[in-house]
Amino acid sequence: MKLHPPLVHGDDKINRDILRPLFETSWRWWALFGLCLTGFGAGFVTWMWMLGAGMWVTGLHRPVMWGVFIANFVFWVGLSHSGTLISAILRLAKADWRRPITRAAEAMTVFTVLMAAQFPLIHLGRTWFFYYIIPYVNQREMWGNFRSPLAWDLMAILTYLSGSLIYLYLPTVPDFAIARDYATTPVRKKLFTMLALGWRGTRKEWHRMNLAILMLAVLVLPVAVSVHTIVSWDFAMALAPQWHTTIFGPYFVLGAIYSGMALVVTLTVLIRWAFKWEDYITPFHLDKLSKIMLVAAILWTYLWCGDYLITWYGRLPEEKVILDIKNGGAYFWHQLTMMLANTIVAIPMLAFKKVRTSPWALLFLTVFINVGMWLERYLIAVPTLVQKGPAYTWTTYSPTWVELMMSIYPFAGFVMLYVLFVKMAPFISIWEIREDRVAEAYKTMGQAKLRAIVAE
Amino acid sequence: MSDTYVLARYREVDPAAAGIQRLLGASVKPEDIDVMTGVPYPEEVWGLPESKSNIRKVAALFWVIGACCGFTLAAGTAWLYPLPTGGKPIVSLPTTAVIVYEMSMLMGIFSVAAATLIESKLPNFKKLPYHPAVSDGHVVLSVRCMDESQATKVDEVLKASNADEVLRHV
Amino acid sequence: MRPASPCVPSSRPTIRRKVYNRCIGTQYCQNNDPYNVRFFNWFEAALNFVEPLANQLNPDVTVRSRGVMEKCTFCVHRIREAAADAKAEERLLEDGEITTACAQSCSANVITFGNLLDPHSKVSTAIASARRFRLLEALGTEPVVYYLKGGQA
Repeated sequence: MKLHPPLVHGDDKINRDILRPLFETSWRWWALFGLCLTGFGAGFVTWMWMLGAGMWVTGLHRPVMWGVFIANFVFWVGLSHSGTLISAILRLAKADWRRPITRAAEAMTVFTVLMAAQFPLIHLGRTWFFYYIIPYVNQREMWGNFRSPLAWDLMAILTYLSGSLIYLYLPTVPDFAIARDYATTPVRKKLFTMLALGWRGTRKEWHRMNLAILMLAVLVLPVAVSVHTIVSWDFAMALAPQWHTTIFGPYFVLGAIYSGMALVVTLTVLIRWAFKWEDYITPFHLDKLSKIMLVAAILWTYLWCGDYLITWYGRLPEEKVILDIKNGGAYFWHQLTMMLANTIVAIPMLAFKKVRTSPWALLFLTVFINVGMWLERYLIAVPTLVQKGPAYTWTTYSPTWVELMMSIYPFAGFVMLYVLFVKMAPFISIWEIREDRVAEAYKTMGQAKLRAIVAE
Repeated sequence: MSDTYVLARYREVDPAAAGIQRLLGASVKPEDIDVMTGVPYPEEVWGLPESKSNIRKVAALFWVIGACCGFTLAAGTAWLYPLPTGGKPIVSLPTTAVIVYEMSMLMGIFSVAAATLIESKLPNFKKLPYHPAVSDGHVVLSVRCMDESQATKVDEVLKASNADEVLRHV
Repeated sequence: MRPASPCVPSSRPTIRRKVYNRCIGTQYCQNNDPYNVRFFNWFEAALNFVEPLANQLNPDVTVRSRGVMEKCTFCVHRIREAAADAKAEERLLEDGEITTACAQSCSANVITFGNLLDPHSKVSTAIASARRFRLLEALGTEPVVYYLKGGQA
């Protein structure tokens, strides 16, 4: 009457392959973690120093009160987009190729939102009073002002963060159970036992889990769309030239999907290489992801042109001065690089299957795309503020080293959380991969042997 | 609890499903049989009564509750401390709509997660019948027995059903 | 547009006021302001006014903290004081009883401050002129600052 008989190793190759990073830590991991911790720490110290010194240490000055900090905020919220969104769409569409990618994408969402959510705090003049925006009960009967898009932002980002966190955690529970059963050291055993919540994989548990994942996908999808729409309203609701436009909602959402997809591909390629998971993430998956990216690139270009054309043709004097500095002035190179990265290079490159299936080509291309997308956010935030309003207030803006450090900060922080997550959870959803293998069958048709999937 | 559990481990799905039919044939109650697997199988595989779940209803209920919370938050607080703005109403409809939307989604998501865990009685760190081979993709049947004589009977049925291993959990 | 309600708008065309204590410094009002007349407190002013320099500070106005967005208050402390006096003496405010610091100190007497709702006030008669205009009127922000351009009345 043994309570826990020794393990029977059946088809444990998947488990061993995917759990390996959880149990084995190489010097490379420590090196990367150390590097990221340094960057994150340096950024954090800079932030704290800025809190003590005041906002004058930044390059901001009236009327350019939103600069790199807000560009970073929009960029990181944008990056967060594709993880949950793509995972939810593919789950709802029952696309089987999603299986090795969803977990990494969902984790990406959670950590990028965590980084993005810090920027509204970083750029506050009085960060120590940030809680005034939260509607809490107080003796002065003062509430936040819900007419402000920034208050909508707070609600949207909190909803998205909670939703993404749950959407990441719940489908990971069965995998935590696997990690629990495979853990050898007492600390890991304890950790994964806690995280697995006592999951046993009974019939009823699976039934509810599947239902819950479906429900969460349905609920989280519109939240993801709403978040970036609301971020775009931070700009669009303001009475400022080139911001005050109705196209900003869909334009931001598509830009977010585009940059997010690029980061998903970057991470997928790196994960595949770092953990030697070529068996699980194949060029087939990269091809599929790149196709989504291509669609996003084309749609983003379409909306960008739509926005540009109307501003250019409308020729309102207030908007024209801003368009001029983008077309030929201080922001010419920013705009040119952006267009090169996001449209002129990306679309023709992604049209080729050779590029779509080549990990290293994709790596360079996706990083370039995200450079372009960062510039796009910068181009939205800054030029408008530089030349809006009465001409005697026009100015220029150049970031200082503080803004540079605060741009390194989220990068380092994101990678740090991501590599920590490598030690916490299987990066490929083991049970979903195995579910696919169980349902896998081959069918002969003439001379061909084709892969078929047994579906419910 | 004096309940004894008999566990049977199968490498494959089919003998496990056949084992359940044998158990049912040997007049074991369906609610006493549980299947533990490493992957979700369609419910019909086991030939047991279908699992029921109220997650959908709970989510719908909390979605409505969330919408009410959002309305209270956006419209209610505006009424509590009115700040008249030139030519604009105290309660702004688009603003309220945004907050109602976000709050309803938030409550919906929270309720789905909470309902899933509560219905599955998770988290649960008690020693319940379990076999770590589930993690290797094996199928494990767990049968709750009232007394030792029933356990012996179940033992025999399971052994006859080509189980790779049969053991007890007390 | 202020997330933490530092501004107190009103239903009548009047002065836009701000509650500086509620300002968290999102700097969003600067973006929304088509006139760019918001000013940010980059430094902690109170630190620079040590005794006896603090004596030059206006006792009726609090020193705003670092990180707060400011705008012209139209010398609201003077308005409040005059209104309180008038109330204590149980009479209405008279035109010209209040003036702002800028109007008071302007040697060329360029600025007139008064009650726009009173058709006989000095400011109302001044802007009855055809030369009057407001900045960026097309945006519909209904500013209460009127200007008089050159030319014949």
